[in-house]
Amino acid sequence: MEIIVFLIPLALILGAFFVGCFIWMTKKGQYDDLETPGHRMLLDEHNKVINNNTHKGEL
Amino acid sequence: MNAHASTRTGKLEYFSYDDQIVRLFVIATVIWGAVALLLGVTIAFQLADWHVNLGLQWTTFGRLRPLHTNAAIFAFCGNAIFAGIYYSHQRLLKARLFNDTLSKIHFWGWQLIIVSAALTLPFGITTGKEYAELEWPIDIAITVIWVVFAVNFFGTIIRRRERHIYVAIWFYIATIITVAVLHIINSLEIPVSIGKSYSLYAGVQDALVQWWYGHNAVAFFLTTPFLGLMYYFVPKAANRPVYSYRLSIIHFWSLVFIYIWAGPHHLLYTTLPEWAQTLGMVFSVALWAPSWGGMINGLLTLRGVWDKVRTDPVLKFMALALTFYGMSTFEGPLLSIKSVNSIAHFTDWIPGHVHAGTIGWNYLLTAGVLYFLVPRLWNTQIYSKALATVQFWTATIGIILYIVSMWIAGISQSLMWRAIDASGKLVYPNFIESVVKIVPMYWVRAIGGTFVLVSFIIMIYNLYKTAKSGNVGKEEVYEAYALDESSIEHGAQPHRKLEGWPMIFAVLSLIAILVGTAIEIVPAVMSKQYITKMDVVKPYTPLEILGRDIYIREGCYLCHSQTVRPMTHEVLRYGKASEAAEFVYDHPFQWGSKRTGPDLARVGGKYPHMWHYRHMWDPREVTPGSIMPRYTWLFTQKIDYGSLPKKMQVMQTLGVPYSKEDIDSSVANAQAQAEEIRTNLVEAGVPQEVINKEIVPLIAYLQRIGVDYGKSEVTP
Amino acid sequence: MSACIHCDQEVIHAHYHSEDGRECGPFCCQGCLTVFNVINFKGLSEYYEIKKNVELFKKRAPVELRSNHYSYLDDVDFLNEYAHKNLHNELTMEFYLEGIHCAACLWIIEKLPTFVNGVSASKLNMGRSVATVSISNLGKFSDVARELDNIGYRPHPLKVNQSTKDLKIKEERSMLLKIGIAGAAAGNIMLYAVSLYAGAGPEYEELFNAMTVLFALPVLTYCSYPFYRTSYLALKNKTLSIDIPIAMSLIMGGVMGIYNMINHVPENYFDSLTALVFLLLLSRYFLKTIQEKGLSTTDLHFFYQGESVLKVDPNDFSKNQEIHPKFIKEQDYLRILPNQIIPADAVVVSGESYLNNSLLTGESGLQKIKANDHVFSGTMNVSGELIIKVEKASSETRLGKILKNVENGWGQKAQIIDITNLISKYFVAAVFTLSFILYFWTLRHHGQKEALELALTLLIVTCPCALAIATPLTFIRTLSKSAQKGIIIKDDAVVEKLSKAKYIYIDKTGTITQNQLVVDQMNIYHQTQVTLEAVIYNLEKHSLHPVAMCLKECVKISNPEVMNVEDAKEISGVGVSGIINGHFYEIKNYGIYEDHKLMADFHIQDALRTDAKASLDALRLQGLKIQILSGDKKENVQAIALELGLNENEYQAELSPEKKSQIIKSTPQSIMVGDGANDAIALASADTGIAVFGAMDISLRAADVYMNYPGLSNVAELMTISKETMKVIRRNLVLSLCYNSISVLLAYTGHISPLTAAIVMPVSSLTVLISTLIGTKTLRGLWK
Repeated sequence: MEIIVFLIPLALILGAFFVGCFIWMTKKGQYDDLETPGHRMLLDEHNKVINNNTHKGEL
Repeated sequence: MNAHASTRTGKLEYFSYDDQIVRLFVIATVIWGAVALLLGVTIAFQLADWHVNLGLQWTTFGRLRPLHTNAAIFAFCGNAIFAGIYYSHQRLLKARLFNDTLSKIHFWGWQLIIVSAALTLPFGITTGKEYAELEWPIDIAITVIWVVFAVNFFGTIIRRRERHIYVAIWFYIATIITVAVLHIINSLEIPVSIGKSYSLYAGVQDALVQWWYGHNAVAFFLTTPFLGLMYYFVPKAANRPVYSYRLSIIHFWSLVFIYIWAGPHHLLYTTLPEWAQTLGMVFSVALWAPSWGGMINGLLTLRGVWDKVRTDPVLKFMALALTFYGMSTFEGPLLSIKSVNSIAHFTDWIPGHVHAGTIGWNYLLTAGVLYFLVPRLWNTQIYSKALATVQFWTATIGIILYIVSMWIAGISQSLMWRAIDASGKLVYPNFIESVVKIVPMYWVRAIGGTFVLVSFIIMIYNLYKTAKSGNVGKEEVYEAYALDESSIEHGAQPHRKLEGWPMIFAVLSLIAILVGTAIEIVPAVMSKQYITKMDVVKPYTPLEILGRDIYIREGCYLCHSQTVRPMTHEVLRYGKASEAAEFVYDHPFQWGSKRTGPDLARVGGKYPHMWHYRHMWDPREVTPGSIMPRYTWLFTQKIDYGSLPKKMQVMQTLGVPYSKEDIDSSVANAQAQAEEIRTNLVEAGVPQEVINKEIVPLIAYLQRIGVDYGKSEVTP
Repeated sequence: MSACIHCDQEVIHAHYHSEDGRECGPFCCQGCLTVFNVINFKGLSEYYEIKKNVELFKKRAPVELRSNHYSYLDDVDFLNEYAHKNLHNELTMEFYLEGIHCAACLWIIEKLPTFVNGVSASKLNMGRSVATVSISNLGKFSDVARELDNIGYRPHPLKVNQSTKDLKIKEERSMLLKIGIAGAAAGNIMLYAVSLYAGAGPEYEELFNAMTVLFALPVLTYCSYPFYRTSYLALKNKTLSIDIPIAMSLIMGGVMGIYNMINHVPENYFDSLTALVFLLLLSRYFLKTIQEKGLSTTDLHFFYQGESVLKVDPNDFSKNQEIHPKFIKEQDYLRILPNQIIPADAVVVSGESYLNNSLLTGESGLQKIKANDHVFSGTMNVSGELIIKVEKASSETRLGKILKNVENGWGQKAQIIDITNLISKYFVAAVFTLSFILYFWTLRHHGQKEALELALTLLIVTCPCALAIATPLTFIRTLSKSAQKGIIIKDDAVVEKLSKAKYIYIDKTGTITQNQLVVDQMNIYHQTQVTLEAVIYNLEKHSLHPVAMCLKECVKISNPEVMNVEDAKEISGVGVSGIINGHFYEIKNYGIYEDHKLMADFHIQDALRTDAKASLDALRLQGLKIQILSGDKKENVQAIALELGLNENEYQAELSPEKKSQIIKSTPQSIMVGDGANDAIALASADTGIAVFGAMDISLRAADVYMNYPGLSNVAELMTISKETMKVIRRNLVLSLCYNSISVLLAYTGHISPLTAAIVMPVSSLTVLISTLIGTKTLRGLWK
């Protein structure tokens, strides 16, 4: 069962990574507003440029 | 929009989404889905009637079953995941995929991997570890493509124009990271040849790693990515924001922290230490909470649109999928409770449970996603909602037939196995009795499976007509502010400087670190590995190694377990309960997870050589009513002695105590042992030339399994 | 019944919009129709596509048509106070928007840059209904505000006190961090703890134990900081707080765990403790978010302040400049339009009008004012246009003074110690004494080590999870559920006070009555030549007198023909007269005369709310003693009382704001319901102040509960909810106390092992949580 010796640090590294992500994201204000994102994702198709020839150049 | 006068118009960026790659993955999904289901149905019928094995080695159950699981998980679900992720990822982040070429490499690379799986598994090229049967070259390919995927995925995050990273993306991230880790750790193996390798771990340890992987493959390949898709497509389809975004965040983080440890519940009552089993059990039960949190969050998102659910195929499938998710995430923890597990484990209840998840959750959700995607990707309407409804009901009936039949089968098996009469004898001493009893259920299952296959074909037709009626059209142009332009809240700092490349770097380095740790720690682990050794347990002889490789090649472990649980009825039926120390030379372990046939942990010396000879030629000669296929080719194919020394060397590096001369004289020794078996067989009236046929080493191995400890007087 | 295309309200009198023949609609009102046109005109019709599909997020009211000039927004000193620079160095302002209700709002608000000149970016926070808008040097906030108003979201500039805001954000983040870390650590600790309980071999014990310690450290230090802090403060103020035993357990547990580790004893309670910390933080986080959600909706003090005022040039009254009321100075000349609230105490320079003092004094009658009369801020100018000269601004005004009283009123509020605090005090005391006894007892019989161990064990296992988690959770449910019903409760203590209330005092004007005059009866004695309606309408056509107003209002339905009136007169204070079709008509002192003959008379009164009677009865059923406190004249109050069938001792009239609050102070366990500034002090001094819909900002600030619906209808329900909630809480307390006494028993008999502790603690918390979620039958009913 020494494999445990191997799986534990593994779990630690993974866990540390995700905790890291969590801390980072919180500090970057990802979780400041937990209401609007749920609504905003519904609008992802609503920022189309209507006549798209005009902008071809900018692509 | 009318031309606007804002001075930052210049900073308004125009971009388009790469939907071509999504289309490709969608197509791949339906094709491989059909293949996977077809294989599934085939092997289902093989269990109902052995003739369906067609007497060809490439089409026997043992070879096709891994193909089915791999096709279902990595080909069908894999492509579905990629399609859904690539579609939603771009839109959630308001950015085109990082790099079109990478996308293409990802797509074609993945299809190549699937094809090569299809070209190896039927030929018995397998590692013999469930859900990880693919051999090392393919494993490497998978790793490479996965990294490509990761770069493309995180690259897009860097290029994003939407500040907030939506919860779905977090589920994707968890998937990418964890799957990478799991795959690498579990696939650590030392090659013998291009098509053969031995697992780095042995016995108990291999089992633990394998099921830590096996369980998390389910968790992070079949659950988290689909939850991510659920969190995107269900709200989109219902046009409702997810019921509680807060809850979804909590759902994600709690899932991430619990899931990874539920693995050991697959090994309850094995020789895995008691405490590790309990651990697995506790965490599996704990999993119930977040799983249902997610399900409830998903279903409540549909509140107020149930009328739509009745009419809209997309919602219809998703609602049912969520329900099945709820069902199987309830059944799972239940099964991981020791007492329940002691009944259900090794029986057909488990395949039933697994398919409630894969068909009920993965297939149905994918169906919903496809019905959402195809009309949008081909700018058209669903060809026929009626057909979709037909598909819906066919699938539902199919699943129900499947689950129910497997419940019945599983429970009746279990009851027959454990039935002991007053005098303390087994009521059904012959295993075959329990097999014959449930064959009808196998028919029901096969029919249920067929229903599912039919439903899938209906979908393919429906989607094909849909796509046909539409056209790909040219890419729409979208507009959005560059990330920083839209962050105007007080104290919002510019982003690119902080995140971006560091992020992708962090991810890749994490994977690197993990591999590093693996490489560093494993040898240490290995060297200490024989502390729990028993003197009576000796390494396999060269011939037995060859036999064991055949055992693995033919996928025997898929129907025969090799571990006796410490329960009266099992000890009565099979013999001494298994001990961890017995398996220290098993690279890989062959405990198996299902008893379609009896356990083989104590089969060594149980029957004469001749019995095995006849049994392998036609099982029904010795056990009437057996559903095991015939293995006639073992009687014609020559033994491959040539590979022996290399195999022995690898074993030696893995820590099996073979001496130099053991290896040098391996071929000679093997032939000597083969000679003994032959003489024995010939006495029983078998033709001479059997000497160099594969049946011999196989018999040698079978006669060895569990003998050292089983026949010894040693007691734990 | 069809719904309004724009605001989705039921349409009673449908308005339609027809363009090139195609009719579209229905609309519930002109306002919605106008907005609809504006939105389409701007090519934003996609708005309606989105709205059609997505779910309503909040209920919204029909659009009020109002001409607002927002030019004060561009005022330099206004900008200095209200705007900040974003990271592109552009002026940025936050607006609270009325009527945010679905994803379509999100879409259109964030599209601002595409249809408002000079807007460079705009972001909406739907939870708070707050839009953050940045403008380039070409842009003007007045344009932004006007456009927002045009598309139906009335904006109120928010004064963002950056320092406090940043602080708030920081707090929230650190709270989330603490929760996250605690959760993760607890999870990992569980991993090793379970392994140990499950009997992981001795070779792992040390290692695993060390791991748990490793994970526990951040939780017991960083994450638990809040508990240490509060208990420190409590001790400093020589009070007992529920956090003290928690903090104690944490410290003790930590010490013990580490002590054990050093002595190679693989034994600690970190699994339970970390889980406890996690749950505590989580429940507090949710309680906080829900309370803030409530507050953000009640924190409306800008609604009153937001109305801009016209400053006029003393020398040339035709020159107007719009300014924000904050910037009114003494000696300023202001132009007050009809239906505008007077923003400062002032003297009338020119113009005649009627004032409605009800908000300030509670009187429903109108006060006539002319030049040189004094007017007070907070009163409503009903009819004519006025020019006034400011004598006192802001805090100096009478309103300001009331406001001061209100703020003091908070302090004076009769403090009742709520049950949870009470219990927890005894609880804390008990636990400590018990553990001391245990300590010395074991010390005598066994020895130092055991004594210490047992005492600590006791402290830890009796940790008041239930008190600390279940109670907040119950409040969370109640607060959020009632918020959904439009009852915003400012904090959880209110719930208990409500459940205890015996007396309810109700303000008349605006609460029981609608605070608008109507003709409640008209006696016709003889038929007039010209229809009565026509007479009334044509004579009063031009009069701004409030009586005239409501007379017109009452005849409007039978749209009377317009007739020419010869030598029409309005004698102010008397009435109107004129000749129609050769007959001489007069309308004076509530009578209508044809050729000096009384043809009809009418009575005018402040109309009773339809739901008033029913609600009062409901409250009586709750066993509350009802009394109406009004600043209005006795006869008016009497009339109302009669209509409601209240007896003599159930109402008092002609009360000054101060008197009201005295009456209330004299009776404990009282509720006050009101809306006007004259109620503010009373609201503040009552155990629970309930401000009804349409209340003035001051009363809002004074009240503990804000009703989103007009009238008393919801008060009764609120009472039930609060009673039921307390029932659940008491049940939880009993449950958890049982558990704790059991664990005390175990501790005393020395039967406690880490394992039993690990079982007892979560089980106890679990049961109370379940009991909370189940709630009570009635509650469930109410929450449906």
